Amino acid sequence: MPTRVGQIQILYEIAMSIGASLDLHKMLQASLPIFLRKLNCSAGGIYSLKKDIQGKYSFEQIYSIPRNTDRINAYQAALQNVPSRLSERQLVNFRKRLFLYGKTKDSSYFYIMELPDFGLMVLIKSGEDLDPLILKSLSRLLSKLASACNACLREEALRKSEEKYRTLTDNINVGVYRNTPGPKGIFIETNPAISTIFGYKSKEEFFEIKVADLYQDPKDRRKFNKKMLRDGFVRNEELKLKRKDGIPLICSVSAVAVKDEKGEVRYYDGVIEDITERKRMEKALSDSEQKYRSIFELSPEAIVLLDTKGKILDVNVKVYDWLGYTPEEVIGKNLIMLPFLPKRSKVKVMKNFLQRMYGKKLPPYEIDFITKTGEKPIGLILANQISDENGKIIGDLAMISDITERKQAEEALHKSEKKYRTITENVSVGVYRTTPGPKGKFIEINPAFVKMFGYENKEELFKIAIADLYKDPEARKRFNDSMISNGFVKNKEVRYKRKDGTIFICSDSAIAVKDEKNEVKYYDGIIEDITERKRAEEELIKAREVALLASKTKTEFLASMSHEIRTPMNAIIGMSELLSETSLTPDQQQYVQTFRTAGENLLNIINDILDISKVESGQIELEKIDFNLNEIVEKTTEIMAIRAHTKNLELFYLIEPDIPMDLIGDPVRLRQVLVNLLGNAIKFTEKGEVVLHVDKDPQNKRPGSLLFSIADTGIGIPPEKLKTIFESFAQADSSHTRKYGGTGLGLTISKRLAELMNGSIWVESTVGEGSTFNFTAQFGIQIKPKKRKSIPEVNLKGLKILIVDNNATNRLILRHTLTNWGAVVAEVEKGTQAVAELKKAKKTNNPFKLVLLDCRMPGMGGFEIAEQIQKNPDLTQTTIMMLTSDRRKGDVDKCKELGIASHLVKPIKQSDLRNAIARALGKAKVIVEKPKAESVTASKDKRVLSILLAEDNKDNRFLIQAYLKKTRYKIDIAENGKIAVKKFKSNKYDLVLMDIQMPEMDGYTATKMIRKWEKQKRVKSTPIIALTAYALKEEVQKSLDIGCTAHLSKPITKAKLLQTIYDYAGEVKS
Amino acid sequence: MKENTDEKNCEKIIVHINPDLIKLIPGYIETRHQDVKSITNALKNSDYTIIETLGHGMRGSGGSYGFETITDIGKALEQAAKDKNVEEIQKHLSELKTYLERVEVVYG
Repeated sequence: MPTRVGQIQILYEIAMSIGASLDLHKMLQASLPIFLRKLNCSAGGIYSLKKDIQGKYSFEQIYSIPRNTDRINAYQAALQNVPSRLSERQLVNFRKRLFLYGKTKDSSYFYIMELPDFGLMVLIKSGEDLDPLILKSLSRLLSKLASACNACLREEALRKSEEKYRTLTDNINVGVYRNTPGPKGIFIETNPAISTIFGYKSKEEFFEIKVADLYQDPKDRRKFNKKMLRDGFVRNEELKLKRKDGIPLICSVSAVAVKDEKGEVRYYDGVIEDITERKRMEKALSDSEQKYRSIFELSPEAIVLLDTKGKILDVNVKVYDWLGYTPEEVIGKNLIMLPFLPKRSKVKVMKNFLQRMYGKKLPPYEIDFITKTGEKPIGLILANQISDENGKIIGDLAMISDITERKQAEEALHKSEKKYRTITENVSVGVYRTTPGPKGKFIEINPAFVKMFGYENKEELFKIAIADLYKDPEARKRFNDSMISNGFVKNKEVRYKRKDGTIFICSDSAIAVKDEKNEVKYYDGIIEDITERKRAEEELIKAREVALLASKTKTEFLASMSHEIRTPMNAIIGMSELLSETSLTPDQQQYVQTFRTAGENLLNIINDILDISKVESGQIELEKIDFNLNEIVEKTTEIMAIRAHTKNLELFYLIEPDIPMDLIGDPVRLRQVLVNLLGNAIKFTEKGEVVLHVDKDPQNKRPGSLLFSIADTGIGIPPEKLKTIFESFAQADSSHTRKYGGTGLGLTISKRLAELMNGSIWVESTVGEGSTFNFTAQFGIQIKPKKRKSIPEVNLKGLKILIVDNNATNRLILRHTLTNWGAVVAEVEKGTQAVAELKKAKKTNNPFKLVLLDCRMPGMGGFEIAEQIQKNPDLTQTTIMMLTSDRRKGDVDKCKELGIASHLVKPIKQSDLRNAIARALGKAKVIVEKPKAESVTASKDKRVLSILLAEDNKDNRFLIQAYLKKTRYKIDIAENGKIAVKKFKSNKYDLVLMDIQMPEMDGYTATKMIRKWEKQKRVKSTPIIALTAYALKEEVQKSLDIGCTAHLSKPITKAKLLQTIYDYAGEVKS
Repeated sequence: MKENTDEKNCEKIIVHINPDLIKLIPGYIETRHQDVKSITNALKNSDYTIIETLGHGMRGSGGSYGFETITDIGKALEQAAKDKNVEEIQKHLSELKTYLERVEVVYG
């Protein structure tokens, strides 16, 4: 048991242990061990009361001995008596229960004591219980400890706050200071920013100066001081200060005077901000605003500022000056309400404004205005959008210039200009004023008048009686009479005499000027020399007459020429018709057919020449007859193909499958247009192809409206010529006439014909790439079409066909046609690909049944491919058909040689193709062109015809013999006319070929003698064909006059020779 | 029959001839070579009649065979012989020679 003295001693030592340290932790570290030791406690802790954000109270351990109390069971048991998260009331109740004391399971004691206004102290003691007396005395010590703790906490809070404040002031760029009052003043405390503001290196350096030193004018410091002492503060006071280096500053200062307890001012606490830059900017801004305001107000133009809705935001004074409306009458109003805009102008302005608000930039425009007083000036508005920095339109600025005067001036100028121009233009016209009467005297005349009459000056003329200037003095009398009766003359033709006596013609116009008494005072008039004009008129009339005559002559000439040409043409065509009725080989059939159609075509062209005169006078009428489109196209392209192939061009046609074929219209005219356009295409194309495409007219939905397009790969037409190309006698380049020949009438006729067929014609072209001529035409459709020549039935469904052609257009047409017939079509463009493709198909057990081979292709040609196919045992089952662009004889032979099933010439007719496929595949009977009339002539035809050839030129004899070698003609030769006559008399000939120029006896004499002999013997005349040199007209005419049946002009071609012989030898038989 | 007479660009002058005349052509060309000799001789002897006749013959046959140029030259020779224009004859004769050297016949 401790003694009382011992107890006092303990309490004293404990009291002393509560040190003066202001650090809570340090203080407890020093004092708590003493508490425990003196009270013989094994553990203890200090807790402070804390309030959380939800308003609940808990005790938080601040310090304990030992540091970790978790393992001490008695301590934990003690803590179970300390609740946490107490409400205000619970806390009050808990505090009422203090002090708490108890014994734990391990026979230790715990004590929980209040530390007033701070928290709790927990003590653990083992062994004996604490003396109640000591416990009682302890409460005072606890109060002391609690207050020491609280002092520590306060100090800590203060320190933290101070630190926070320092961090704040140190880091802001506003100067914070405390200085002493008085006119001089010194700094007591500042933040770093202030030294920076004033350009000092450090705080120490700054503290060396007086506050007044910072002022530009020390008087200002005194004023400031006075104000501080009077008011106790300043707020945002602008002070003119300076930096260490003397650069002036403007600073804003806010400060308070801090007084001591005696009420005396001890120092000024303040913040200072450098606002120099801000002030400068403010000034600049206000300056610029001022500037713009001045511009706005002083502008000679009226300026209106609007927002995006069209509301007037501002107007300048000019608006008032000019239009009479004050800003108050205008600002805030919408554009549409503006009193100075008349209705029409409003619409225009509104429209313009709206467009601008959508971002459109618009040029200045003129509108009418109306002023308050009702005047109507004209304004030129130049308006622009106003955008913010992001480019968004925020309003509109319209500047309006008054252009009324300018407009008036312009108009005045315009008028005066016109007047001036009238005067100058009429300078060549004579102007006069004369006295009235049959004689008449000049009062005034202009220089042109004097000049016109060939006088030196007007005075000369003034002396002369006007009547004397007339060629016929009576004319003056008549002039005077009509002036008196009508008061004027107008454009009267008058013949005048010049000074030198020459006559000239004038147009005279004058009025009689009367005075107030209604008496004629004088005649005012003008005269114009129209001699030249009259002469030109007369010439024009003459020229017109000549032209009319020429045109008539031309038409007559054309008509008679056409007739002259048509007569022999009829013979040619007629003969060819007869010939085609005889038995011919298919080759011959084709030749005959070709020259027959060519002849017909030629006749058509001759008809065209006649047409042009009809076209020019608009006299053409179209027929309306049934025809088959396919036939027309086939026939036309067939003829044209001959021309194309001589130029090594390809010619194709393609008729879309859904086109009606049985049409009503004028097939002759349609063909005429096709021939013209195809002919042109071929003529102007050197390389490539010509394609005719027939399709429905996309612009006209009526059935029977067709579009024909003829595309070539020729020289093309320059754009400037595209319009004139359809005019008469116009070719794309007149130099082309020489190069390409032709009249240039074809396109004119075509255009007219297309128009007559309710269509039109046009051309698209690129120079160097080609042209496409298009025309449309409207046809009727046959209701009950006649049965057409039946095409052999071929079922191509599923038939595998390979097309080999380097020409893409040709491939397209073939594919198109064959696919339409149900075939399965593949295509390649190279020979090498062809063989590979065939092999590939064979491998997959789906071989091609038929190959269509283009004969001439770059690289591997048709024959080469055919050979390769034939050689390959896998491919022998493939049927080959050869397509060629020309009719080379060798090709046919080669086909036969290679066992090629068929041979077709481009452009390939659909019927031919189908027929050929049928024949090649053996699926249909071969259609053979049989002669139409198997007549008696057939047997006669087999007879050998005998021909006498009178020709001195050995070479020509050989030539003719060679040509006739394989024919049924037998040739007898005569080296000159004499021998010829002799031979003719002793033998019988079906025909004589007579050269004209021969030695011994020429052809003329020989013919004469033969004809004479025939007459004497009364035998039927034998045809004699004159072999004339190179179409010498006189030779031809002479030979015919003398009695030759016809002539064959050199050079002699095989075709020409055979044709002529055929024509005339045939004539004999019938 | 197409004739390429563009002498600048090609040495050979290709002439297409009807295959029916295949057997005649060598003889025909040979005869023209002989004509060249005959005309040269005739010129020496100033025998213009021969030249006129030969010219006429060429004129009458050339084109029919396919040699348009021979016809043209023949015609020119015939006229020159009529005019007794030695220079012209020589000129056309050398044209004929050149032509015969260059000409190459293709049948078909």
